[in-house]
Amino acid sequence: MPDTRRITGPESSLSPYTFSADFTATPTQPLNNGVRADGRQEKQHRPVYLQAGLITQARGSAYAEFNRTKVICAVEDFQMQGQITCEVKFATFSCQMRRQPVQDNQEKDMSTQLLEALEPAVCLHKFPKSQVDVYVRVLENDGSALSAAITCASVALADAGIEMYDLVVGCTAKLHGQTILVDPTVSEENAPSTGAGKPGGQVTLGLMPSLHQVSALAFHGDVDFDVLSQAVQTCQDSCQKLYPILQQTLVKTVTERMKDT
Amino acid sequence: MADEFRTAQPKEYYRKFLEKDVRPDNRELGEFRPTVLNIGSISTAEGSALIKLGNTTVICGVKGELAEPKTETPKEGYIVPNVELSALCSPQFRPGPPSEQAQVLSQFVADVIKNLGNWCGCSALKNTALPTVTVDEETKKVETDFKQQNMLHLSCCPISSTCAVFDDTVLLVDPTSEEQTLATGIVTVVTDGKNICCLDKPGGSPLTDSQMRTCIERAFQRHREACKLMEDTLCSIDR
Amino acid sequence: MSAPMVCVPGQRVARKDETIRPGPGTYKRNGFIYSSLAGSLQKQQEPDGKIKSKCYPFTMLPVLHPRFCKCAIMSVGKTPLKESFRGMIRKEDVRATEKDRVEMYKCFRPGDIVVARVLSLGDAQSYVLSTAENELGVVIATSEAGATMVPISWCKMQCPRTLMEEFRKVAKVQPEFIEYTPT
Repeated sequence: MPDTRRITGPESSLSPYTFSADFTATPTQPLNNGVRADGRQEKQHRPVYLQAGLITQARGSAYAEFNRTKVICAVEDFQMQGQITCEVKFATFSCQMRRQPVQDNQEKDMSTQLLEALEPAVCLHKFPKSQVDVYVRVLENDGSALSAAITCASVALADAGIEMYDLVVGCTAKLHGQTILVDPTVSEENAPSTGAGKPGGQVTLGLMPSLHQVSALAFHGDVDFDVLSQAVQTCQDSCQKLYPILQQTLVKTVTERMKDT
Repeated sequence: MADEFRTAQPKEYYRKFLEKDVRPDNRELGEFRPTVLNIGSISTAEGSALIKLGNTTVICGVKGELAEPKTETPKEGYIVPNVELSALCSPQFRPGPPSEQAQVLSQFVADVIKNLGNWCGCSALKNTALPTVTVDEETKKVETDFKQQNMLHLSCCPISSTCAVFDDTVLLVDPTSEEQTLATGIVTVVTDGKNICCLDKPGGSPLTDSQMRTCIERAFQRHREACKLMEDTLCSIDR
Repeated sequence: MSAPMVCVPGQRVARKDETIRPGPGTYKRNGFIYSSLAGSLQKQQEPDGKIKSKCYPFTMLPVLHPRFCKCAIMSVGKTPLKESFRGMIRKEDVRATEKDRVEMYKCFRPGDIVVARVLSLGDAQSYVLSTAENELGVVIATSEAGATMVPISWCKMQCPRTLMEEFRKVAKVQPEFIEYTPT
């Protein structure tokens, strides 16, 4: 059935990138002399920028930037029974290939994972009559979009004045055999495992750093258990390192707001 | 007390301000909000622009794809503008398929671009109620040759400006969403500097000749301001 | 008390002991008190007597029915709400006396601004409100001519333009709600 609510383009179109050899995934070495393609160390996270309260119309909002991965989140509340819902959407222009405006399976999957990461942190019993809606929009995806979404959404919830046990910090790691790459970029995420018998996978962790509790753990792939538990530990360390950034962002927003009133 | 008055009787609240020719956000009646433009901030898009008009923010990305042209117009391509009013922007908007308002805006933007008879290039976007036009010059990629990037050629650059009519008499330039909901009518004028590309006045209050003229004059003035801003922004980023 | 400390959710605020009790926006776990909100921290001496919390929402009435009226709660106390909540005033909660002789259309009209008290959380749809006190009822009302009316008795308001009298359940506005802002 044609979409009558949007302006539709030609029936079939091809992205120019499909013709280019540069953009098709080629098996590359994940590490070159211990340094990744963008010059980072194995366990080094990209620089993180966070801002809270930038959407004035929303009850709470936040913007997160992991270098080129850009995520924006807004929180609204409605009168309903106490529950929380999440919606993750990629902007049509956020990836190399154009994304469809309708929510696809990957986005639905991410929405559920985000919900599962946030739910344990929110004091739901404090909202007997309202529903908290979390909307996340990925403006640009350069890898680790889910962990950016988790971090961003928890800051937005705190900015909205929703009572929470703790903030949730997200962190993704890509596994290549024994190598653990923290906070992978899109090319690292898409890179196939090199060689046969070299298992790989990807793990995303949501951590409540102050309470030392894991709220979400998503893994797909095929690796040794030892490697996985090591990866989870690495992610935890990385989350703990990011936690002060979240705190500072919120403190800054709150102090500014107190100055205004 | 002022906040309560504002929520309880917004119209009265505005009238009190407008009597003194000033708006609650300290603007004069004919004043635009501070505008910030950022071009090329999204690297996954072939071209992108972000515009901030006070608290209204619109982000626009352009993706280029290859497609066969229609048989009736073999030399023309397609341009598919879509405006999304996502639930992020404001509690007025609900998640789900595009609302009627979003559909109307998409069509409006499509009309603006089509009338220019240009393949692709101008992206006029609107958001949370505040129309703004962002022009976005594009790198169109030719087949598989990525080293050779051609800049899209624009025949002109349309800029829109909106006026709200309050109580059938007072004209408010560049209304906020609150002003827009209280207003009796809205006029949007799109100009390319010399001509009027599009004029949109959906229903609402009657408008006198002189008021219409004021709207159009203000739109031309706005075009000059916006063009300057755009040139400055384009100069500041290196391509 | 020093400058207020800013807390974020999950921040450890204090060690739990006999002298400190967690207030609103905090919770206790593992012998510590944690913050659950982003905001400034305040330590207060616990008041001796329990103060009865009073909640005065200002509401606008959109729908009138012979047995109840539905309204939108627009602000609670001095805090205006970003988004209105639904409330309902039942016929028997309009006034304290002669409850059975209340006629809804003689008490409220759509568009009136009413001060009310929250009786209960009500059902999933709306909060149950009451105006059964002298201080509660209509505070701002517009007449049929469109002018803001002036109260002339506890049950009547007058339009300054047409001098028409209309029935309302008028609130005796309390001094604590009148603020003089120097202009």
